[in-house]
Amino acid sequence: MPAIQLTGIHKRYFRSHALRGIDVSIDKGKIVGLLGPNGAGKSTLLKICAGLVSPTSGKAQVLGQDISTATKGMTAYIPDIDTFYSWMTVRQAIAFENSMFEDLVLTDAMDLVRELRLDPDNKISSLSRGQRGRLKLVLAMSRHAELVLMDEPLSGIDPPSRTAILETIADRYRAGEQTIIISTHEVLESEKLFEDVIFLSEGRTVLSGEADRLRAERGKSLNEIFREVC
Amino acid sequence: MKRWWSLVKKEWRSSWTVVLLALVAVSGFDAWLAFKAPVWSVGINGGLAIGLSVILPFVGIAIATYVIGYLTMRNEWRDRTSLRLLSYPASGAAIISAKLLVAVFALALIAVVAAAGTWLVTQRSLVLPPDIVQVTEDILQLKPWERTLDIMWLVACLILGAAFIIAVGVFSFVIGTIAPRVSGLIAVIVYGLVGYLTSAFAPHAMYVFSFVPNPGLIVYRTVPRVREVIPLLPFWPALIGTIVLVWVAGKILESEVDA
Repeated sequence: MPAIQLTGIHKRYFRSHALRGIDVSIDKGKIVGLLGPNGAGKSTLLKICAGLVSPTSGKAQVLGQDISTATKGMTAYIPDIDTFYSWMTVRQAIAFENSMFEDLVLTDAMDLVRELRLDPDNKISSLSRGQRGRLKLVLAMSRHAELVLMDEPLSGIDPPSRTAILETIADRYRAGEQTIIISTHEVLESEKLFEDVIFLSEGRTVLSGEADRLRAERGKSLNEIFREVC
Repeated sequence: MKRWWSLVKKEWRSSWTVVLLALVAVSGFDAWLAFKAPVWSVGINGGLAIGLSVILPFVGIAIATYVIGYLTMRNEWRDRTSLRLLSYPASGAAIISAKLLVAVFALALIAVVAAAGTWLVTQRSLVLPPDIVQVTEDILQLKPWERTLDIMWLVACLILGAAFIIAVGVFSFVIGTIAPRVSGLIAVIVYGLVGYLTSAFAPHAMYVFSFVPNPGLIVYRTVPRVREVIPLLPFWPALIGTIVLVWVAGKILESEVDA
């Protein structure tokens, strides 16, 4: 059973087409790069998988089920924008997520808070962009979710935080059990993480496959392939 | 249920400062009126001035009721927290009903303080407006259990009425989010339309529900002095209307909304 199965997915926002017939099957237990320039449809695709947007047409399944409230409970979604309640402290945000998701492990969350050098008693409104990026990661990676969707986790983040985020993903990833999908247009830094990649351009899949195989076949890095096909 | 209760607590924690401010403002205003009441109530039109002033907090509560449903949803979209809120494994109806409960509770709390303020002002007034005197006399004719029952049903109906209006606001906002660029305009149109349909069809709905048991308000007519039970016909339509609006808005939130 694949982690994500998308068949003929179209998404239209009035006159503009965000996705134009996406057929994708993502195996369980891998870190997958969803690569494409701005406007390629990466965020829309992740939102569909997270149950935040309905496709205009096509069939979307997550973890063998049609997307619903139940699949939201098995999916950790990190959006590309700040979506925190700014009046909460870091500790309150974790406690609230814990009350909403059964698979969040509090001790893991507090370990991650320490690892990523966040103060649990700081208000979210006082956190820098890098710290907020790290907090997003705390909330997603402290869950034992089968599917983790990360939309541009490095976007607008300072270099030390980017390194911390990538290291945390690599360390905390439960290989074989968990599927992580990372959308990004900043391929250079994150390409070593990916086992599989999907290249999107103008709402279509232009290339997909195992990262190592693509590198070997084309004799290029993923960043170079990205520049070539997108 | 645990998730729903967490959503309720989250709503309350995000809004309690505003509620506190409103409570302080209403208490302060009524305390000032109570201080002035002995002098104002005996002046020319003093009773009228007191009578009008004392309803001001209730006018504020009524205005708040009309906008709070829209605002409580809009704030989630404005702060972009909607994306997080809708990613939780909670149904759209659960998200909306949590907001509705907190909004109704907050308004009820402010209304209770305003009612206490009104009582204080009338106690301190030397001369009361004739309407208040008449209402007081009518209430005094009721037996204690009749008074309790009347208060209970009136409070229930007021809460239901407020819940329905808040649900209309929420529903209007949610419909508006389907077309983000013109969401405000759509919300206003939907609000107006639902308001129009409500006023146009409320008599029909109340007629239909007059055939089922309704809660009743016990009153004593002064002339001739007879006991009467007035059925509260808006009760069932308001309850069903609120549930339908919350359910439909919830379904839209779950499927069509771009957070």
